[in-house]
Amino acid sequence: MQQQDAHEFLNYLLNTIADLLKAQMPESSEDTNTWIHDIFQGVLVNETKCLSCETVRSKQEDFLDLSVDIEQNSSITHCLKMFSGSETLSSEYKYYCEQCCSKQEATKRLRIKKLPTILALHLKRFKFMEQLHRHTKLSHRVVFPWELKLFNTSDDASDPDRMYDLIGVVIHCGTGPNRGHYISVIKSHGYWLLLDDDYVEVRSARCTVFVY
Amino acid sequence: MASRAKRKSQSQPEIRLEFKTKEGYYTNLKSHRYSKPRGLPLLGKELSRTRVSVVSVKDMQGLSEWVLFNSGKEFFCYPFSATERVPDLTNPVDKHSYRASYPLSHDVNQATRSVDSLDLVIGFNGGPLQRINPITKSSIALYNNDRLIDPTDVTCVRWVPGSEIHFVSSHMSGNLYTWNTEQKYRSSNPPTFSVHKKLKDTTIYISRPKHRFPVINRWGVGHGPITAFAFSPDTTHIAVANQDGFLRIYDFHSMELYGRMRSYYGGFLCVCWSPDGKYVVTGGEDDLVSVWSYHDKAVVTRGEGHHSYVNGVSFDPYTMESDSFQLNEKKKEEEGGLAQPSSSDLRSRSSRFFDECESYRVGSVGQDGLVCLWELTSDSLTMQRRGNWSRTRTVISKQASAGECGEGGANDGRESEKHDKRKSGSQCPSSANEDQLHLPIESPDHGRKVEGKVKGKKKRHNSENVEVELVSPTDSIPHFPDGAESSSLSSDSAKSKKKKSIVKSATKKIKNLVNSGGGGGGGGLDNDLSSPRHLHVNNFESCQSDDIAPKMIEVNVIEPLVCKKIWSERLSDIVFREDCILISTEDGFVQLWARPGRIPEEELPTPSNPGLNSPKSGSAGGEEELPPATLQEAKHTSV
Repeated sequence: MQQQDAHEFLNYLLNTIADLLKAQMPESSEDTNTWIHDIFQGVLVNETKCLSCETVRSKQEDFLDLSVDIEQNSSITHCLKMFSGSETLSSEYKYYCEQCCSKQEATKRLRIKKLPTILALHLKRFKFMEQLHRHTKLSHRVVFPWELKLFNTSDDASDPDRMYDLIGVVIHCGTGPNRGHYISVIKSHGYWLLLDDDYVEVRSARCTVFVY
Repeated sequence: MASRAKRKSQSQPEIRLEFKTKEGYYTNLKSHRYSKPRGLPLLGKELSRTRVSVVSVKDMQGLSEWVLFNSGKEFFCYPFSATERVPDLTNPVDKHSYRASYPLSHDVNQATRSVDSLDLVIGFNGGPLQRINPITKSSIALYNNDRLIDPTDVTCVRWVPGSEIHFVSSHMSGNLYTWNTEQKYRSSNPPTFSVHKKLKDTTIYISRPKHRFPVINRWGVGHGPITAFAFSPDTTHIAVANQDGFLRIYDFHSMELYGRMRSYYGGFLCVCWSPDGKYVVTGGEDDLVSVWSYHDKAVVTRGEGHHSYVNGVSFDPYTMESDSFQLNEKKKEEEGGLAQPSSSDLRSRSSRFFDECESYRVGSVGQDGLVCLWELTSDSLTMQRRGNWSRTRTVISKQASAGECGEGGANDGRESEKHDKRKSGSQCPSSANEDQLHLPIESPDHGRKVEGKVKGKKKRHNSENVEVELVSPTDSIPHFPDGAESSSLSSDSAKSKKKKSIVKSATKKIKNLVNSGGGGGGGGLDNDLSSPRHLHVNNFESCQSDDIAPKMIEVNVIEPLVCKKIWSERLSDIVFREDCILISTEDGFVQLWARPGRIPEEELPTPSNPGLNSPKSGSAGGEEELPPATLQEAKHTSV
């Protein structure tokens, strides 16, 4: 049996449940949303602004979790801000602007339009290193509070100041992407439970997936 | 590719050795860095918040100064030479190494300090506290060594300002203890406490006097560990930062909750009062620097700029907007010269000036290795009146309530508006009462850090107005009269153990006063309260306001004036001095940043060249740089 990534597993699990639920639904039903979507699904707005004609094109995307890049000695708040920081599309990544009918430089930013009921965050600790031609694990210290609000919501988001409480953490132990061990810390009935043989302090843990 | 490369460079910002503000360049004095004698960085578990402080003693021979800080399991005291001399790290005044304990917080008693004696109290992990005189290298006393009183880490310890014998310690358990150093410690009996007062989410216990413990009282604050606390400049109030996401401001002597602030999210980690006591600034796990206004009892500004938790925050008392600074000087002069009766009038006038031109400088350091400087202008300190959150809360200014409003200043529309606001902010029915107890506060408004002045004012109150005296802290606080006496009201401090009943009687007196609504001529407080313009604006929204943090759009958001990465490790503390800024790092270093124009000669090579980033700032002073420091540099650049 092949070992799998926790993030891939979460995706697989959620999508499979959703598919099964959909299969049970009467075909006449218009609404394809299942309780999985009610709980985990949020909506991102991808705003692309052409630097030549200044036209903004926004596209909505659904998401079940957010994968964020990490930095040394940063906080999850900062990682989320970076996730929504504007990115310049240039050179080979130029954007095809329909207004200009040509490839143009553009800025792109992702913001959250619909906040999910439960927010799942994935810290991209496994990074492909060009020099080494393989993935390595970034053991950066990323702090996360017990509570979280999102700074990167779009202007038209409803309830942008929604508070999320930390309810669970999945942690990857080990040095590399190809091996290691997953443990989780879950909040249940007011107690934090560590689901593994050993005790691990939450604060110093290297976390891969958060569920708020 | 390109974008990836870009992102990479973003993720590892250059470590800066100088930064620019409108005053000029601040420069990191690498050769003036304090650390352990070997100068090696701490690693892994050794990392802890390095708290730093500077103590000055002036005597006949001149000024003596020391810098004190913890570093892993050690505690150091070096002579502090500011920017004048390169410190000799091999020769500390005092050094303590602990086998299993980490010194976490410390404070020197400012009331008893002298050239040959500093009363230093240090709090450790696991709860013990130790008093040391670093000058004679002698230990004075140990507290809670058996951990009977509290077995959790000491997160902060401070002497009660003005008191020679009382200090306060805060713990991970969420308890705050007031200690009396004159009381002998009997370790065999566990302490017993009885409930004295229950506030919103705080319970205050008093130790039974018959047990004779050095602990006078215990405050169970909120629902999480206390991370830091600070006394207001006039010593009447204490601001307590808690991991549970609340900052609570209490009247320390009457033991009443004055106000609370909810973080945007996450816990608060540090706290500092503005030199005039008008604002409290905090930083926390929301990566924000939040400014709470004493008048408005609400958060007025948030600073967004840090990339991680904000570990340390401090007002810079030396960088105030020049107008208000001059004015302050002028005010001081005038106050000295003028006859007492008119002083209050003067005060309200000058405070109006403050409203117009005040500007504060705040510095903050974070776990991201960033230092940020913030400018709080009057614009950013004005409450936004957006949405339904703060609209109707309009009420009198403090100066008005402080018993001197009869004198014209209070007729100023704005001031009365403020007062209204303040009142509706205190939601409890007894708020009138509570307000009485807050009386002494008004000194922070004007008492700009100048001790003598604060004292002077209090005296004036006494002579001016009997009612005021009745509710002044000394009278209402029986539990530690001498701790309470921040000033000339002292005298019978020795009778430490007054009883609860006195509190009661004091409160009764106050109540009577309120009811009687007397306060003739001078425009006493009672007058104010009964006058229609201070009638309560009943606003239930404001009742919630201290439980729920305002939304981002409801509060001013400011960007930092300066935001620079200065170290690869987490930073923990920031202290402003006249000629420099001290910044401590979690791996055990205390950096000195010279203020513009204060760079010592040996560090001068690149002062006026911003682009150079002074990679070789040691070029002239290189010989003086200690080998350990060089080592550190190597590490520093390699990270």
